Amino acid sequence: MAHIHLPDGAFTIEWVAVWWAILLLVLITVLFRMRRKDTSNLSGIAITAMITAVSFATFQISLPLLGGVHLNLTPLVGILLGPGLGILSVFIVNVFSSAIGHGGWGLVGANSLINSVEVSLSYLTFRLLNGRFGTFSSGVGAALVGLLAGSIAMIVVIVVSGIQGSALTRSEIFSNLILLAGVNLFVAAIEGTVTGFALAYVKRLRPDLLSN
Amino acid sequence: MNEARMGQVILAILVVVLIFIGYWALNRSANQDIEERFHSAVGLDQAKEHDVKGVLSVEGGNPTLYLFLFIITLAFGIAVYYVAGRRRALG
Repeated sequence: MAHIHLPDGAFTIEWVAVWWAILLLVLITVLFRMRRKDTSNLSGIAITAMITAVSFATFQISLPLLGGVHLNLTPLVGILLGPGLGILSVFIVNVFSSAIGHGGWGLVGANSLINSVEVSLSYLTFRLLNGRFGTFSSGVGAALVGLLAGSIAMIVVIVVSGIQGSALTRSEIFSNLILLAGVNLFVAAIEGTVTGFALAYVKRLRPDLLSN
Repeated sequence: MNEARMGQVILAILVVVLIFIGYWALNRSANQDIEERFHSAVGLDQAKEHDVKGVLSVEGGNPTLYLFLFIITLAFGIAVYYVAGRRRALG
């Protein structure tokens, strides 16, 4: 859900390079750890591809709500795929989205990192809650935690990077973004509910996807 | 009240609180689309990030209507989910 909707040039080239460098480090770490695990799980790769495709398609649909918003199902991606494959998935979604003009190329690094926070925290929260509460409640709770953290990460990234050509100070940008995050909470409630229902449905049809 | 039921109640309250916070923030941020809201938040011109907002770009401009529609849809979804769960449990 949290996504920096700014064009290329909003961040200075130094900050674009910094966020891309951090993302590459994260991706290399993920790939290195996955290489050490069993890579013969073809069904896992197929499921990752399908969920990535669903996430990408959902990402492009502008809902006629609050002036036009979109979901990106990052909590669902994280809960079903885990942080490793989930981070790869959101990176691919962000690259493909930039390819069709949804987000600048220079912001793929920052946006992928923000989505990675959502993926990882949703996964961890779901694992924590699922033993104590039902699948639906755990899914909603995990999605809300992940999306709230994603919004905070988005604000931190923008305030730290600064905006080229902006007439506002960092503190003004920060207070405006807090308001923007408030609007995002409305979307988080929707995305959390969608995630809860989707997980309850997945548990009925394919409980193995949640147990891995 | 068992722990699972308590969790559902807390979550339901949390979701409703988030909806009202979002609604309050939306009313304070004027009726703009997501890109316009972003641009004005960071102090940039209102130039569009790109021309197309999505594959199914449909726009509207009534936040109160959205709030009611969302609450009604959510209530309907939860009611269907609850009834389906009860029916499964009964037989």
